[in-house]
Amino acid sequence: MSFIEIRDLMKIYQTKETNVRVPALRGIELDVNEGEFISIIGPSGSGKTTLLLVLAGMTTPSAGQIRIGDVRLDQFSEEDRSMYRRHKVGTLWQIPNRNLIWEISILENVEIPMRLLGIPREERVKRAHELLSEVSLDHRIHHKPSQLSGGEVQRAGLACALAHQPYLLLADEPTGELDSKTAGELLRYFQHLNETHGITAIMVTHDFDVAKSTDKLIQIVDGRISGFSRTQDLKTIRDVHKVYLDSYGNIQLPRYLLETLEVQKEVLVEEKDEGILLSQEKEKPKKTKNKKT
Amino acid sequence: MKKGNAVVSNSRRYITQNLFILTRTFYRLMTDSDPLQEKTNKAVLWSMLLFLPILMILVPILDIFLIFFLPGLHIFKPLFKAGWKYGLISSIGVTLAVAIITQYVFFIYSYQYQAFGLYLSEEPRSYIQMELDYSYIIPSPSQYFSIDGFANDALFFAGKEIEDLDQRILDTELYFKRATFTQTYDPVENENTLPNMPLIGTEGGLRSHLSLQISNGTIPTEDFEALALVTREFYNHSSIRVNSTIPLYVPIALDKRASLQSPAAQTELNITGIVIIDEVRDYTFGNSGLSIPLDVLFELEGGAAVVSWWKEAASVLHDIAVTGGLATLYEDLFYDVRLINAFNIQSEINILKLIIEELKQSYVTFGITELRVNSYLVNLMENFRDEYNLYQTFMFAFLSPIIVLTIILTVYAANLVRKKRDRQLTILTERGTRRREIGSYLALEALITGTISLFFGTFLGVPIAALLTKSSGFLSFGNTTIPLKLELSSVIIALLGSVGAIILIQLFNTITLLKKRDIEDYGRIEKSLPIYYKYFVDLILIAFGIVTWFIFKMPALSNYQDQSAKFIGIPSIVLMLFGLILFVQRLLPLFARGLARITSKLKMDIPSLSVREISRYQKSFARSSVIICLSFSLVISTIVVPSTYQDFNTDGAYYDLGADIVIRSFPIENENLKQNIRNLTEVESITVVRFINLHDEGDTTVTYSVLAINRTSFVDTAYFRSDFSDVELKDMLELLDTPLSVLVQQDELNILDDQVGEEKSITYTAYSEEFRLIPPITDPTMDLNLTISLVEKYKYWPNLVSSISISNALGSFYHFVADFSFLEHIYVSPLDVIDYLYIKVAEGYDIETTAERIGTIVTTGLIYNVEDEIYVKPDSPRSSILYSAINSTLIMSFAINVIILALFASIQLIDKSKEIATMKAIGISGGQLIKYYLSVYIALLAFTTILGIIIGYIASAMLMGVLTFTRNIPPYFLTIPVRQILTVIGLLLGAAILGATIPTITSTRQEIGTELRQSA
Repeated sequence: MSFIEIRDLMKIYQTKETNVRVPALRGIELDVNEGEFISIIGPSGSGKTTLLLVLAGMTTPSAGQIRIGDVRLDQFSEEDRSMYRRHKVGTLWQIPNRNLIWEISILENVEIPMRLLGIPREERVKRAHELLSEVSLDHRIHHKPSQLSGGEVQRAGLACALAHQPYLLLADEPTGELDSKTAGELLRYFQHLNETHGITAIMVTHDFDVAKSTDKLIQIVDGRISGFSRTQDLKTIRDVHKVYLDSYGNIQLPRYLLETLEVQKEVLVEEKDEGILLSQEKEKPKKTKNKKT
Repeated sequence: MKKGNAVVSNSRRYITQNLFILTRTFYRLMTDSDPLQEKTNKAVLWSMLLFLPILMILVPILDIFLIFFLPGLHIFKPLFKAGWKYGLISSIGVTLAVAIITQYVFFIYSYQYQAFGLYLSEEPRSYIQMELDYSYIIPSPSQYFSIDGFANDALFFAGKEIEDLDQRILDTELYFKRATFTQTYDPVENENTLPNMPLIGTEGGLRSHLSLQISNGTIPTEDFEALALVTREFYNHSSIRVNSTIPLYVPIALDKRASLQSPAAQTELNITGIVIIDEVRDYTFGNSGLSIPLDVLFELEGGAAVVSWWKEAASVLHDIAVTGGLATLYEDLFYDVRLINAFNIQSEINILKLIIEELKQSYVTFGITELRVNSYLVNLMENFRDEYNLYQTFMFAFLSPIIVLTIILTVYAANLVRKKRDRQLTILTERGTRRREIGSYLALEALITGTISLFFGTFLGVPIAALLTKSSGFLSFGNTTIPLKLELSSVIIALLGSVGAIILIQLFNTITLLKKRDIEDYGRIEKSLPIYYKYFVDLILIAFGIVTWFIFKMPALSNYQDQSAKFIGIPSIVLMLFGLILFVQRLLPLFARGLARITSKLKMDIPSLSVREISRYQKSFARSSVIICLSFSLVISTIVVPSTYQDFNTDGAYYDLGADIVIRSFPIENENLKQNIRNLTEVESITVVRFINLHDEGDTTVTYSVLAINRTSFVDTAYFRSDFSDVELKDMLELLDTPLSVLVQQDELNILDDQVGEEKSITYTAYSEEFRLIPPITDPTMDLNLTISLVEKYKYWPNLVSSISISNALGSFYHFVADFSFLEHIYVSPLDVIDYLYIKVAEGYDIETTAERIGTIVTTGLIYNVEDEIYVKPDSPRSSILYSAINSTLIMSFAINVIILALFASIQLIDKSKEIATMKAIGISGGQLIKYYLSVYIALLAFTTILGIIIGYIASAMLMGVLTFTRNIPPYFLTIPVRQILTVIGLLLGAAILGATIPTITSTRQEIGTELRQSA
């Protein structure tokens, strides 16, 4: 039995002013195993964040079933959801000041989830130190978030999300505001914590490179899962790629393909009987001027 | 859980301790208070006893609230650390609210406590006086004891209903007085004069007191012996000395000279001793230490009297044939004014009235029916009651919008806090904190900030009140400025009001903070007007205000004028104005669009861009606009209302007095004196006016008050406004050329059921000592008929209505104006004729100084000048009623206006720090940024100024309607002091722009990087 089982999950938003109903999730079916680290990829407005909010117990599903471990999230009351967030789930958001309270130190920030569980002060401080040490922030524990770099803030946010030892870690584009090097560092911490703490982690991202560092990749388009694959397979099977194509005709190619094939800004699209072929435009030889000697 | 309980228990202990300190401090202040308030202290203790249970209930309720939500305590430390700055802002706001409430309460209480004491000091006649007319006086002391006994009987019966009556009535005194005059030589003026010197007969305590006060001579022991009670001034102007014999005459006609010719109307008296009444000890009643000057006690308008003992004086009366022992008896009951509770004035009035009723009953039982009660004390208390009602109405009128403003301002400040706290609380919610826990934390925070604010606000209220006292001249009574008085019950009221305000404010904050919101709502632009516009709250308020106004104007409520003005009239105005202010905000987007179009046509690029902010942030602009509009309206009304009220009062003073200077009981036969006054350079003209009361003692008592005037000099001297009649004064007076022709008051014509041009027959009780000589009447009074012709009508006639002696009189009154010749056709007691001299002061001369100058010439009569009579003038007791409220409101409005704009600018700029940073990043200079934001605030100020002036004008008109509800003559016109308004508005705009400029400059100086990073 999977750790997370989602069946026919629907989420419809209704605007107060105009009464317009906007379906964000239209029948999601998903299974996630315990300790798995998966990424959700999809274009803006596809429903990735909504799925994450539902899983975080921050919004109620309109229909469908969600089982996480031995609890049914769709049957929770508001109080249950608070307790679920308090005990079972940790979150990390793209915007730094949504993860941390800006006016207090990161140590105090990390302590807050433990305070909510009633953990004694000594234990709280000890664990906060350990966590911050794991994300290499042990030398900055008394600093306020405004005194840290972007990567450090996100690492502190990660420590905060793990402070109460949740069994599910949810992250919404945690590397969105970071450069590739810092993003890579954060991901390594992510992977390390996932492995050492053994928690199930779900990460929403736009970045295929980030996604490929997870165990499994799930694609969402228009509130539905359009496909998923094991990222290991993606790396080995070089002749078949499932890529994202949006309704405007934009194709999102994996970055490693772009890098390895040295794809330039423009590609040629050829119609074939069996489909379309993307090929690289051959570079024209540069005209060189004969130098007069 | 244990920890939480400990915190709750500690907090309760601290609150109790603080309250104890507060209570003890104020109790000390209370016990040091004026001995006059001895009785009030008991009331204060009762109030305290009542207050403590309320607090005891309040604190547990808060405790239960906290205990119920106790889980929130474990997030207290980080949250408090994260949010103490915002808590402080909120706390300052609440402190301000508390301070404003308390200072108003202190004002009101200080007034009520201290003004009454000053009222008492201005009216020494602290007795109830029974006046028995035409009493037959027997030359025997036994009569004295039996009549005095009637009063004691009455007191015995009244004592059954009034527990502490024996403490309240300190003493009773009985004496008789007969109007007589003498003939003497004035060595200063070198002329013979006929000064009034009433004959007084007394016994008991007064006899003992007078015996000890003789400065020169001995006590009278025989018949036809008497003491001369004279002022030093009178003494110097007369030849009356010890052992001199003086003639004593009874005025048998209006002209004293007629009495000199009648041997039956005169006798002679030996003066055995002189009492200089302005140099001797006042008469002290009982062992109370309270006293009264002799001239006040005997009401000696001319400053002189002859006094002997009951039997001896009665013998003199009997010697004057025409008198036959008839005199007026006075029984004075001296009241202990220290026992009067100024806070419960109505019940105190009721006690006095009960005593009066018992007295009347007692005298009637013994067959004395011609009885009048003169209770200056009741009049004084009723005046005080009316005045403090007016004062409270005023305070209420200005207090309520100020409190509303303060609360809005505080809520506004709290909004800033909320915006900052929102993010913290959302993070906590995401981490699994329950709303109940957050609620618990907020309640605890509210308790802490509330307690601190309550404590500091209450004490801050004192210096604010003291500051306003100094700046506004509040509590300045005549030449005495009394300090602001703190009194426990005022503190209790202030605390209760403040606790209410705190609960209201904190409740709003907590509810707003706990409101379920989506985290994705951050930074949403509030494009629409506030939500209450959707539900037409503005129109509902206006409608409700109008309905309440109509209720206030209902004739059925006219009996409860003060109460209805306070509780219906003022609230209805506040509702209507608030509704109106809300309503006009609907024009704000339209105004912004129009301004954008104009500025863009004028090629003012930056302003045209910036005023669009108003349309973009309608919600916050509308909120600020409401507050600024309200404070502008207040500023306007605080200028217009006092100016109008001042003019109304000046007109009122002229209306009451009739001329610049008026001398009552003027010796009109003294031609030299009149000439001397006329010759003064300060005097433009003079005229003699005689005021006559004709009584008709039929089934219902009717009094015809006639003002007899000299038609030519009256027009030049007296005050008369063109709107007082439909016909010109001069033309109207010309109609009084036929005998017994009179002018009649317009509204009384209907009651008389008569028309102008008709004749009317009236019956009146004629009086003349000569009637006594006609056998077989032997009574100086008889009913006579008189036919008057009503030649013209007037609406209002100065002096006429207010001059009638109406104390305790029942029945109808009619008011006429007639020529001097009217007196030739009537017979009336000299006591029913009061002679006045009206004086008009020449242009460029000061009225008060002229009155003082005239005072050196005139030795008899009472001199009044219009300056002294103005109901509200800056250095009079009444001024405090008006100017304190007005000035403090003006200062408050001023401060709030500046604070709100500065706060609004700060909030706007904090919200827009990212926008500012971005604008700076793309190269917009600091100066341009200042121009950009200041344009918005100036636009907002322009909008609020225009509307504030219009609404302020409407508010002033309505407030005047309420303030003049109890007195509608003479009619008033709204006075608009344009220069003063422009100055204040100019200062206000300057200060407000300065208030907005400071945060604008500060924010534009911030480093771009820091701003962008912090607002990410």
